Amino acid sequence: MELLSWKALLALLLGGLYGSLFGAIPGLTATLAVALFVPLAFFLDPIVALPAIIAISSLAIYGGDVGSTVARIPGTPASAAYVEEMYDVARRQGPIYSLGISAMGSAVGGLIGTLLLIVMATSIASLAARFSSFEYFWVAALGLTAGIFASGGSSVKALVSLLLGLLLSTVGIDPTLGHPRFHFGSATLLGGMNYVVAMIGLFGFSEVLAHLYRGYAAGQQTIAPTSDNSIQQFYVRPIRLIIAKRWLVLRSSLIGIFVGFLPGAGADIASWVSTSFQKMRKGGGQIAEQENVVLAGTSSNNAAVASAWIPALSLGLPGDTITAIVLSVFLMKGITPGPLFFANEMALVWSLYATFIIANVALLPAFGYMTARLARYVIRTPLNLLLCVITGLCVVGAYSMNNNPFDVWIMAGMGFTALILRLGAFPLAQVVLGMVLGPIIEQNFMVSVAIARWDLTAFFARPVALILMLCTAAVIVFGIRSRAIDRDDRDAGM
Amino acid sequence: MMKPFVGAISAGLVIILSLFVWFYSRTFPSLPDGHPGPGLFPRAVAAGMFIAGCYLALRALRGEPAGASQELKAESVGKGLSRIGVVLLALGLYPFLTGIVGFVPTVSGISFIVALLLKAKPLQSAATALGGTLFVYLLFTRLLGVPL
Repeated sequence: MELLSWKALLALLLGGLYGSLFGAIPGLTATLAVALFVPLAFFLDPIVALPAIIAISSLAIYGGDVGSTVARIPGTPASAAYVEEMYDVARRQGPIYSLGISAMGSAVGGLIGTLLLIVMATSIASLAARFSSFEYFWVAALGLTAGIFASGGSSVKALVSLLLGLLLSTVGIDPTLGHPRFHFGSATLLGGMNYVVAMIGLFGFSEVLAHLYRGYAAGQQTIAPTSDNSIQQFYVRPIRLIIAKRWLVLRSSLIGIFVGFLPGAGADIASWVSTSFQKMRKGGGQIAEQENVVLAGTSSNNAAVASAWIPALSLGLPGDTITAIVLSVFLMKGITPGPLFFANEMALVWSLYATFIIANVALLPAFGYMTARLARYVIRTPLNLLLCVITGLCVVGAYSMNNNPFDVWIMAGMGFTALILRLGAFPLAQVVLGMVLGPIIEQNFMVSVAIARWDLTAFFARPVALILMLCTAAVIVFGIRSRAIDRDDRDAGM
Repeated sequence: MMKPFVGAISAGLVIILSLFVWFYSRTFPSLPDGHPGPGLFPRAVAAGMFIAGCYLALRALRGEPAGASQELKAESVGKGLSRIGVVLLALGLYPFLTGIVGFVPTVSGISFIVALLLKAKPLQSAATALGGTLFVYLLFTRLLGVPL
C-alpha cells in the first residue's frame, strides 16, 4: 500500500507532531494548522498530503487540551467546552492524568468515528452513483441548509456568511455561457477565486490581524505541578476509566459522529453538544462528574473529525471547515469527491482510512504522551513571534500558488474580510461551505433546468430528489423551531 | 454589553453589498431562449443577502443585542485599526518591494513589522522574521521545488 511508502509515513509522523504541538499553543487552532499546511499540501502528492492533514487535524484537536490542563486556556474552540473540568481534574489529580483522559478518550472516539466512516462512506457513495443533476442539486441544498442551522450562533448571520461564500464562488467564468463575472478587469480573478489563497487569508492571516486588532498580551503563566508514575497516569488509569464508562464514551462518540456529519458543524460543535448533554445528566461525585465531562468532550470531538469525512468523500459535501479546505485542494488538483472518487482513487481512500486508524491507535497515544510531558514548555511559546512566522508563511503560501503578487493582495483582502466578519460575530465556516458548494449547486441547477426545459416541477419528480427535498424542508422547519425554543428559553431566563 | 451600533453597521454593509451585486448582475447576458443566464445565481444570492440584511437592521433598530464578538475586544479600536492598516499597507507595497529588494528581504520586513506591532523585542523580532522567512523559503524552493 502506498501509505507505507517512507514519504507518506514521514508525512504522517511530522503532521502528527506538528498538529499536537500547534494545537497546544493557546490562540492557535486545528483549522489554522491545516490552513497553514495547505500551500505545502498543494505541491505534494495527495497520497502524501492527505495522511499529513488527517494527522494534523486529529492531533491538533487533542493538542488544544494541553492549554486547558496547565493554564486553563483552551487551545481550540473544541477544548473550550470542558476547560473548567479539565483544569480541575489536572489540579486535583495531576496534568498527566487529565491529558491521559483526553488522549485515550480521543483515540477511542476517533476509532469509532473511523469505523463508521469506512462503513458509511462506501455505502453512500454507491447510492450516489445513481444520482443525476437533480439529486446533486438537492444534496447541495441540504448541505447548505444544514450549514445554516449547524452553527452555534445566529442562523441569520450563518446565512449571510453562506451567501458570501456562494457569491465568492461566482467570481470567474460562469458554467452556463462561459461569461466572466465579478473579475473587474483582473486576469487573475478571471480564473476564479483561488481556494487555497482564500483559505490562507480567511483562517491564517485573519488570525494575525485579530491579534493586531486586539493588542498583544502575554499569556498566563499558571502551571500545575507534574506527577510521578506518568505512564500509569497517562495510559493505565484513563483506560480503566474508559472501560468503566464505556457507554458514556459510545454515546458521546455517536453524538460526535452525528454532529460531525452535518456540513459546517465539526468537532467544535460536537464537543459542546456532547458536554452539554453530559452536564445535564446526574451521577457520581463532583470529581467523577468532571472526569465524565472531559471524557464526553474528548471522545465526541475526535469522532466528529472522522465523521466529517463521510459526506465529504461520498458526496463532496464538507462536514467541517477542515474537510472544506481539503476538498478545495482536491478540486484544484482535479480530484472530485463522490462516487467517481471511490472508483478512480481507491488507493487514496484506503490511505485515508489507514491514516485515521494509525492516528488514533498510535499517534495520539505516543505524541499525546510526549506533548503532555512537554506541556509546561510548549505553552510558554511566545505567540507574538509565532504570528510573525505565520505572516511569512501566509505571504509565501499565497504567492507560491501562481507566482502572482496579486494573490498576496487577495489573501490580505480575505483576511481583512474574515476579521470584519469575526467582529460582527459572523461565522467563517459557512463562508467556506458556500465557496465549495456554490459551483455544485449552480452547475447542477442549470444542467437540471436545461434537461427539464425550465419546468421546475422536474425537481420533485424523481423519488430520491423528492426525499432529499423533504429532508431539506425538515431541516429548515426544525432549525427554525429549535432556534425559536432557544430564544423563548433565553427570554424566560432573563 | 449590548451593541446595536455594531449590528446596524453589519446590516448596512450586507445591504450595500447585496444592492451592488444585484445591479452589477444586470449587465450579465441572458440565455438565447430568454431565460436567466449567468446573472441568475448572483441575483438569487443578492436577494437572500438583502432580506437577511434587512432582518439584521430591524433587530438593530429595536436595540436588540448584535451578538458582537467578545473574543475580539480591543484595548483601543483606533490603535488596533492602525496596526492593521500598517500591515495591510506593507502587503499592498509587496509587489513593488520584491522587485526592488527581492523576495526574502520583503517578506522578512513584513514579518518583522508584525512582530514589532505585537510588542516583541526588536532583536527577537528581527531574528525570528529572518529565520522564519528563510526556513519557509528553503522549504518551498528546495524541498518542494516551487520557484519563488
